[in-house]
Amino acid sequence: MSAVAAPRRAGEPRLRRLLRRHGYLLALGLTIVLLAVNLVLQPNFGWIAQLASFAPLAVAAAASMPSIVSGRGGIDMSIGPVMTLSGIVFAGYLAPNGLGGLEALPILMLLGGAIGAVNGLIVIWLRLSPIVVTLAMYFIVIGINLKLAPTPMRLADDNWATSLAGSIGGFPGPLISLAIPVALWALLGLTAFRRNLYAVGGNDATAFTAGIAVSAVRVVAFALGGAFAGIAGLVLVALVRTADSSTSSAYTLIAIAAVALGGTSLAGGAGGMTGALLGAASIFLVQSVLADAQVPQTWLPAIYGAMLIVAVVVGALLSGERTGRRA
Amino acid sequence: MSAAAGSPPRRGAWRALAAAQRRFPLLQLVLLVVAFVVGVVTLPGFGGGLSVVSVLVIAALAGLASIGQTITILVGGFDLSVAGFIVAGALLVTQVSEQLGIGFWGAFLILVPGALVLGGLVGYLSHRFRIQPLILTLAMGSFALGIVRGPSGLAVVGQAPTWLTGLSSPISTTFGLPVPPIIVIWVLVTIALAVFLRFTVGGRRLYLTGANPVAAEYALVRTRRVWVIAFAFSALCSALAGVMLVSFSGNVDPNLGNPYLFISLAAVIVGGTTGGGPGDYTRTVVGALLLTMVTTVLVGHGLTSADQQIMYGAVILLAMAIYGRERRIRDRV
Amino acid sequence: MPTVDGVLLRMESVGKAFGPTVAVRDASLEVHRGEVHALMGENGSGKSTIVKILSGVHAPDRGRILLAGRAVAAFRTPAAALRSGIATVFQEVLAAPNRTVFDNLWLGADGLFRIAQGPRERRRRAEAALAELLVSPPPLDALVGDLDLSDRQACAIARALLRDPDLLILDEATSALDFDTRNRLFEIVRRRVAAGSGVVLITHRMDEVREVADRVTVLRSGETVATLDGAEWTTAEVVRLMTGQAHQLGDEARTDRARRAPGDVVLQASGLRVRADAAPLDFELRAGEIVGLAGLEGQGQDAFLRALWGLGDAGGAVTRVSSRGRQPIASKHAARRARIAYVPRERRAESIFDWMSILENFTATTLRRDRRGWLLSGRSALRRLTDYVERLRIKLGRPEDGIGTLSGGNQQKVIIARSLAAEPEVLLLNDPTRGIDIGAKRDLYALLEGLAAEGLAVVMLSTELEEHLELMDRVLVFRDDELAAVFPHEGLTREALVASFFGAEELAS
Repeated sequence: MSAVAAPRRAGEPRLRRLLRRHGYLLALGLTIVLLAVNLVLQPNFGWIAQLASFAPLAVAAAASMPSIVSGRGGIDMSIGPVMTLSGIVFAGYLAPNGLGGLEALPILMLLGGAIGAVNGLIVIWLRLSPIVVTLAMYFIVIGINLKLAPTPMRLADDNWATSLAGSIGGFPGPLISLAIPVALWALLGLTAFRRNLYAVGGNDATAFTAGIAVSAVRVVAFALGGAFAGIAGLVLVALVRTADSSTSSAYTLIAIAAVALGGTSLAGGAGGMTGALLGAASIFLVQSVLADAQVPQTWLPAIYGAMLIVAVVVGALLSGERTGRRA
Repeated sequence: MSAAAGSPPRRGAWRALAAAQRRFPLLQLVLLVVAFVVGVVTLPGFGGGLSVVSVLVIAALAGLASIGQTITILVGGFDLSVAGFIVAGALLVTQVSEQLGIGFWGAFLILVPGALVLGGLVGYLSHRFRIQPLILTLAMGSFALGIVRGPSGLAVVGQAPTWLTGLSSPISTTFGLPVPPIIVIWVLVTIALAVFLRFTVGGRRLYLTGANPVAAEYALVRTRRVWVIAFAFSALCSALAGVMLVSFSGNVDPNLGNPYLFISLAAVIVGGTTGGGPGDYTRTVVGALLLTMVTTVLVGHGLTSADQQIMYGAVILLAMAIYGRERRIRDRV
Repeated sequence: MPTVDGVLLRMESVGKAFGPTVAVRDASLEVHRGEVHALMGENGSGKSTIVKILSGVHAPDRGRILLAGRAVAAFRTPAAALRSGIATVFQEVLAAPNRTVFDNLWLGADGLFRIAQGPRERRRRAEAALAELLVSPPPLDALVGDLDLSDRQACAIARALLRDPDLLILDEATSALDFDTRNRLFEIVRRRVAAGSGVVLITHRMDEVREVADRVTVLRSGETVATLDGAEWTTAEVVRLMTGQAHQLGDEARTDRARRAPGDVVLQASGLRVRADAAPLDFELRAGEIVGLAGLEGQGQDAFLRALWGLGDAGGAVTRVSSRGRQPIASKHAARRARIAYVPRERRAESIFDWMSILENFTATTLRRDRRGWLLSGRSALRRLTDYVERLRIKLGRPEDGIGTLSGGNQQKVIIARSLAAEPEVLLLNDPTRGIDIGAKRDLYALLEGLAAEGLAVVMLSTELEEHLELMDRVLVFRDDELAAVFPHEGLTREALVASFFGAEELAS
């Protein structure tokens, strides 16, 4: 079932064609509408505070994206726990030991990147499904988090990182949080890596025969996701000022939902940073609208669940994959 | 090929063992016995009747929570909605039934069709749009939990009826037998599932669908129907496992289901069932017994819940490394 | 600088097995600079495996590869082969559908991070390569998935050409190309070899070999049989070398077939379209008939056969005619109720349940017949299988053994037994002898003849000319998703058949 089966698409409606090529358009529309609703419901919309609460989810979505783009069901379940681990290491281990400054950022990225690389290496060496490998890693990292931080760890209020949730010399801190993964992704766009990544995600057999080092691309994709998760952990701890091992699983599901909503096909080879961020924005703004409308907390799982289902079904419909009949 | 004939007999014995292992979880059974013996030797009172029954009750809960997982993995899927449906089921028969005043059976009458519909929807959408069941089950678990918890508010109240707690109390008996009813239920379910999977048309169609979905369609198996039924059944099993858990713990905690997500995955994978088969529920039973036995012994030696998490993760990786492999990229050119 | 003479590539006594299946037994190949070297052989003769060895997809189990006189242990990856100057266009059109034409053309030309050239230079060269190959090249920013098959294949070829390889391997790379593009490709090929590089060509079109090949190496069952010079070979000789014999069936069978009279109409197709904008066709199948579907790969015969099984979606009606009346066939389940059975094309992907037993594979479509009360009876299944083991001469150990323990031919027999177990009155076979050994083929022919004599109607798609010549009562030739010609058994010749594949019917008469 390789490229040979690709259908002719001459008669495809223009809108669908556009959406298939630019999957993030749906999330863009949703973001604009929801933002408008938010501004109406909440005339004094605090931009910096809202951006600060948005940043962890956005970076988590960015972290889930590379491995999904790399294809073959490359969903990284361990993103959530790795975020928490990063927060715990920062608040509980680096900061108290004089490493709480800017140098913490590369350390946390390396930590997350290393875990991601281990995921990727296991996937390619043992030829296991990424979901199983990263799910195992999810349990392992949660266990490590529980060991490292049996009780929540507080971040000192005067730590520089807290300004990531405020402002840095008048400049909104959250924008810097968002800028780091965006800049990294843009830098990678100047190299061959991103093209290789999309080629591998689109059709790994083709990429392999064309001479691309498929395994290396996959490992780097997982490592990149891990590194982003490291950043996301820092951003989260900057916002909530505690690192709590019991919240290890909070971001995995919702980050994947954001990526899916942003038009990144879970089959791989399409989508990207713009989609992930816009998907995250849509979800965040829905949350915000619900809060404004005073919908009780206990409803949230139902709403997230429904949104995720709708997002992936719509995504599958738009991606133009042949659906239905298998024979 | 000629090398095989000239190889020393020891390799032949290995091969026979490996063949036996493929058919039956031999290694797992050996490890189960070893874990038990280690427990008896190192932990005082571990071999006692009540202690063994307690281990069996915990294993039964794990085993019952893994039924759906086994079935969905056999058809080539995954079910990450276990935790959500467990809590949804548990909340329905306690808090919701109390709030609505409909009693246990009234809640039960909501639970069964509700779980079937939501689970079936996952199977349908996943098959129809070729979406990873992973995502959809996660989402549906969250949804199920939300629609049960949403109307009832944050405070969790409600108790299990006393007759229900009797089901899984280690000191209760079943028709005079010195074991609690939950163990008898587990044994009966195991036998029923073994017969269903091995000796019925439905069971065979389930295997065919998992083994090769395309070939199954050509062989006129309605694979979408199989997926819908498998996921609906799985959701129902999880919700019922939630009821059983209420009977064990007496009350409900919104995090009640969380451990069972990975326990169910670990039990299936450790038992040696791989995605799309081969495998069966009997293997999961062995997996659940092994995991429970090892955990109990290790907890007796001071293993924390953090260690348990790490152990489950490592065990899943190890078992998958032995059983499941994807095709090489070279072979897909 | 390359010299025009001299050996570019030498492959000596290479062997490769996949598990128990030996794909290449002992193959040698010598490609000179400045020549187009055709590699010919039947299905399963090892051509594709040799290509995959030369391009670094598979490592050989034994043998040597020398490139420009230097020994190359073996290419460990396609990237290594490309670095050594071997570029391959594979049989299946391998393109990344979600990427642009531009990205596809330069796929794999970079390192993991390092970019080899500037984008402007690349666009220029990509445009030049496409313009050379295609009359109306697609825009570089179009998605490859939106192109038609011929253009997609052209992209894969252009990708290989852009690497400027010493050795270019074209593995059935011309099959999807339209006429103009194919001619342009051959023009490029001639120019390349004139400049001193080498080309290995694999194609099922004899005329293409005749047109561009300087030498021909013939493979049979994974072994090199002969290498012939362009001047000295004839089609008949190459065919004899490929098959190892002149005919696969005795003359006796042939006359038997010719004498039998067909029965009543059992299946009708009217106004059936294979593609929505192709011409409709009418078709009647009679009891006891064996009808062949022929044509070059992918000309609509496959879709036609599937449509007869109720999987058509481009218009027209299929009706089963029997003593039960007229039943419309609109789905595969309707087909089954109307006693029409179908044997799919890809054994591994579409037929086999690989970890399950022979017995379980056999009973897959007829489970209900083994039901005793609520439960399946193993004894009943075994009894049913035993019948077919004898009739199809299936060689197996125990029925409980895995289907994987059987050879390809025996697996295929089990699959056919699976279909026959439903006691069909119409049997549709999609290239059932592909990649199976000659003994199993013969058993299958004998079985089909026997069943047809009992009144079974058979429609069989085949990629082997011999089968059409020997086995079929009628042959339908497809071209461009339309019915191009119908040949009765009498007087059918290989030349007529091949000529009609290429739309040259005037040669046939």
